[in-house]
Amino acid sequence: MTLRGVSPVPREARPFQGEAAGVVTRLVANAIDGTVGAVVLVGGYLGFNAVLFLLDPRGFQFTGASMFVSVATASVAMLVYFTATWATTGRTYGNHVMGLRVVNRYHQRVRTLPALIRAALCIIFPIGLLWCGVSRTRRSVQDVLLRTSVIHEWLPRHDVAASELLPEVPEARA
Amino acid sequence: MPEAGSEAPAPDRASFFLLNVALEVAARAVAKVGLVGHGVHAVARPVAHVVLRPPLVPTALHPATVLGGLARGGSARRPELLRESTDAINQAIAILDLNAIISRLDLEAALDRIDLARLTTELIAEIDLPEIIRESTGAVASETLREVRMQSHFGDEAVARAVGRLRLRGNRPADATAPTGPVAPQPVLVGALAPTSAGSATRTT
Repeated sequence: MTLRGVSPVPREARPFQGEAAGVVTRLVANAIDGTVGAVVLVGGYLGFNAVLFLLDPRGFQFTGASMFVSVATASVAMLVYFTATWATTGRTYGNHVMGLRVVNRYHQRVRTLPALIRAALCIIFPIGLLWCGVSRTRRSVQDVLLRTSVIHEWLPRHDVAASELLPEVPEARA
Repeated sequence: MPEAGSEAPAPDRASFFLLNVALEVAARAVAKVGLVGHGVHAVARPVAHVVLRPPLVPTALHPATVLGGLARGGSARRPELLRESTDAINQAIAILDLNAIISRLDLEAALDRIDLARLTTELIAEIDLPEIIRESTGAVASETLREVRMQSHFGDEAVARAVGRLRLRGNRPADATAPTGPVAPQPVLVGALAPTSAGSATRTT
């Protein structure tokens, strides 16, 4: 439950809520997402082989997928994962763990098509993330192209008006 | 509500207005009296000294001596008087029927005039109730998560500082970077790209 006017965010983290996240936080979040993707893919591979084993136990052997098929499968899975999470809650599991949210230039949730394009760009050109470490506005290449941002937002729900919960920005940072 | 409360006329807004006016007038009067008293004290002090200790009069006959004797007597009797007054207050409390008094008060009306929701919210914010809840019920995992988030944020700030220094070094003119003697640190220039300014530049709201 969130009380109006009382932020559940820890006091020391309140000053940077709503600010763009830096490269370290985003790399950690992406590492978590990569781990999630790897777990899903390995689980899918094992599940697929389990089905094959049940169908033909005597002639079973692990299927060997080519590099192209593996990369394509992983890319599609991550594309779906990124698009679905950014377009619905605005945060992947890695974003959720690190308290981040992907928003558009109006500070709102990105729509499905921009989320899809952003996901594709992130998969095709993942090193573009490092640009947010150099950029003054902490935007990756994908953010610059799509005018999106990844902000700190530790609140668990987006439907709570941010203006009600975000503290006033201290003058030193304003 | 008790019958006595229903018989008494309800105070209207005009009554409260008059009460507020009276209070304000009284407060101003007290303030003025305080100022006047301060001035009178400064003027009357030498006069009082002469009156209390008149010259050419034996010390035993000084008014100050007489008053001092009275004060000593009062000081000696003070514990007894305090005890007597305390006993009197206790007897009065014993006689008073507090339940009857409370039953005559319109507490609901008084509570209606208080914005309890706002008061509660301010109280919770002031004592940082979420922090207390986190500390009392937070699992180790959530504490670790919070620490990871904070550390990664500090990492972001460190990267921003480093990039800011590099950017500053790249923008510095060539002749300015060729020192002729010991180079003094430039905290102002470095501080200009410190995390505070970097953070403000990234505010997206």
